[in-house]
Amino acid sequence: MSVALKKKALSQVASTASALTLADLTTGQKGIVVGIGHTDDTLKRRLTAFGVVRGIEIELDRTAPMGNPRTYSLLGYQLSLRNEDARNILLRVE
Amino acid sequence: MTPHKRPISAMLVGNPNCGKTALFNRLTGDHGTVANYSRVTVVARSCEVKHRGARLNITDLPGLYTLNGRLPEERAGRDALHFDHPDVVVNVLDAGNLHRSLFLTIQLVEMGRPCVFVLNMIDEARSHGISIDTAALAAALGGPVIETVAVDGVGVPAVADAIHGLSDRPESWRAPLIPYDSHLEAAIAHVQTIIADLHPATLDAGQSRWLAIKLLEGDSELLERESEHQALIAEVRAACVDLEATHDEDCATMIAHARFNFIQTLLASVRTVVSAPTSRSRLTHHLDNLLLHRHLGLPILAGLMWLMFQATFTLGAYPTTWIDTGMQALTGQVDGLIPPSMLHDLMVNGVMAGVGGTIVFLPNIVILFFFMSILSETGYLARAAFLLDRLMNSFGLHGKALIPLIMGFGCNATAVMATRTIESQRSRLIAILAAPYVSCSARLPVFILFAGAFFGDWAGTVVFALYATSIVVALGSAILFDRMVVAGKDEPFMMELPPYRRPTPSSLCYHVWDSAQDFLRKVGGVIIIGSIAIWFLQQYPAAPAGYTASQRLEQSYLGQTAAAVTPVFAPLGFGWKDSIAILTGLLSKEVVVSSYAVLNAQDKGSDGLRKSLSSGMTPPVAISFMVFVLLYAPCLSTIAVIRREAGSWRWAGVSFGVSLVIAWSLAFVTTLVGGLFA
Ligand SMILES: Nc1nc2c(ncn2[C@@H]2O[C@H](COP(=O)(O)OP(=O)(O)OP(=O)(O)O)[C@@H](O)[C@H]2O)c(=O)[nH]1
Ligand SMILES: [Mg+2]
Repeated sequence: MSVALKKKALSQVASTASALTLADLTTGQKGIVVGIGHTDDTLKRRLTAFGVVRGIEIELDRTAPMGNPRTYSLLGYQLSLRNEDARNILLRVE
Repeated sequence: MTPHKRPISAMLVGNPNCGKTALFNRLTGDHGTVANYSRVTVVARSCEVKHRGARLNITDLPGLYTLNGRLPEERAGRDALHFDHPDVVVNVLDAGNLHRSLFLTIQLVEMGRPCVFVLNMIDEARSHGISIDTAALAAALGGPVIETVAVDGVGVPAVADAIHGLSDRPESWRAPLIPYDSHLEAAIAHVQTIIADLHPATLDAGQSRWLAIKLLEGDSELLERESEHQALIAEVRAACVDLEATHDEDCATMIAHARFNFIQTLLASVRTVVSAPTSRSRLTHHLDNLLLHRHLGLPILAGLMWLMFQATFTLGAYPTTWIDTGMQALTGQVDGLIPPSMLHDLMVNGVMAGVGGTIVFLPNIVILFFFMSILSETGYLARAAFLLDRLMNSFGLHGKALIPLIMGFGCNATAVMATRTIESQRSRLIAILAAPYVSCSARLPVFILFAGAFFGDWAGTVVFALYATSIVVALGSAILFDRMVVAGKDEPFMMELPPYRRPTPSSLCYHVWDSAQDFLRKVGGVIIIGSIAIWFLQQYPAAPAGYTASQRLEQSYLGQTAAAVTPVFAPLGFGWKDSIAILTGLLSKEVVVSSYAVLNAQDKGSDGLRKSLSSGMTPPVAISFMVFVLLYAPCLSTIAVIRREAGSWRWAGVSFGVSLVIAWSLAFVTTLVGGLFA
């Protein structure tokens, strides 16, 4: 498959309703990161530095009073993210 | 090697909040601010110490998650590493959070500088039941690994020894090779050969490998630096495109992924869970169930704030009386000692009145700082930012601006500095401009004096309400500045929530002592100067004999000034003393109180001052006055910091001008509305 095609396939997965993102987790649910479906370099770079990379397990801990942001557990620590950003993290749930 | 002529330079590098400053303080005996949230340290700080006959120059850098970061303080940290060439890099790691901490470690060892690895917070790791095989880790990382509990000083001498030892024998340092997947390795080798051609004999294999990896990662600064070598850049781009085509992932992500895999394998061999986590390690979870509760979280936050200001007011009352009595006795002594003369008058009615009028607020200030340091050292401050991010966001402020704003309760100038943690220039500028509206500790004496004089038992609540007002105005002003500030990009909110930690008594004591010292320095400086100035302006030019007291005042410089400015404040209901006090408060807000004390020097003690205040003003005007003092003009030092941090006088001017308009308007409304009720 060509790059362009593959990229397109990936972005389609990200945009269809069935694809799961970090923002879709329910409290206490766990998922495995499969990728970051976003082209913005800054966001990717920063998520990577926080350890949000393919293959790691991440769990939704709690939600702030107004529904946003939320805190997640990963690699043994707690990270809080806004839902807008969490939506770019693609997950697989076992 | 012979004893070092030059000091050995060592830089502390590690993730935010891993205990670098705590370690730095223990190593050097310094008092850098330690608190339990990320990015406390925003500027590097160095100190020189003697260790076993050598001089160690130790630098505490701002925390970094990665060497590719773009925050202003992240760049500062990286530039220090690149350009200042430390002899030894001291990589501090959070032992309980090794997986993420090692990501930076990998980048450091690839840079090729000799590293000492410090596994800090080993006490917490143990309470999680984790044990680390330091010998195996040292073998894998190629340098000494030392376990420490920086706050208690455990293991700290060993760190100094290791720095010393490594700088003596740099050849003992072996940078480990981080393996990447075969396609990446091929690309790295290819780029390396081009680099070797371009920079013949200047870079060794390790350095050219590092450069190749950084270029493939897309490090914008290095790409810039090498931009003259068109062929190199073109090859790097081609290699990236190739890799992306075959791997369906960009180069930077592939590299990061390979690093995390390396870390995972490494941890599997050096880290073991030896026992069940203790109850202490579950404490954070249980506390957060309550403090971050979806419905209770915000009310609890408001309650804690109320409690803080109530306590500041009520607990402060007792020591205040002692200081007041003491100062009156002292004034009596001075009164008797100096024969009636101009000097006598200057000392008793100028200096002593001004100093006595302000110094009584020392206990309140100390108590406020005590509570603030408890909030920041336990880790609750980071939670407050989490709880309020959404709200702040709707006002155009970044969630990260919350911590600087709360620090503003202590001092606005510090708050403006703390906005350095905000990456987006736009968000940062808005935060800088909003920060001066937060009621700093210098306003506290004014509130306590006025609230105490007018509102008796309700004083604590009135003070709390003023603080609430200050937050509302700070948020409201952000909406305004959001419009004024040039458009720009917002940044994502990503923040680590640290576990709750017990504040260390020594650092609490130091905070309290430091705030007391700071206040006393002001009393000894700007307050004395302000008081003397007011006294002189009140006495000169000398009045002809036979004038009454009020006639004398009228023709004095002070009277003339008052006559000029009073009309501006008349619509707000302020008299001439109030106008003068406001004018002098431009220096620093505590001066407002000392000016009153000098202007009312005939009323002895703070009780007398309160009485004469309450006879000269109605309660609504008193509230209006407090609102005005709360909001008008940042103090001189804050203005200077705004200029520096925002990069131009223009923003300092905007901040000054807008604050006058806001203060006057809101005070006017207060007087108007208050008048309806009175
Ligand atoms: N339990 C425990 N706590 C520690 C240890 N070292 C530091 N702390 C606590 O960890 C928190 C962070 O310490 P700092 O020294 O401010 O961390 P830092 O790395 O300088 O943080 P930034 O300046 O934000 O990058 C503080 O609350 C310290 O009291 C340790 O060895 N054990
Ligand atoms: Mg620090």
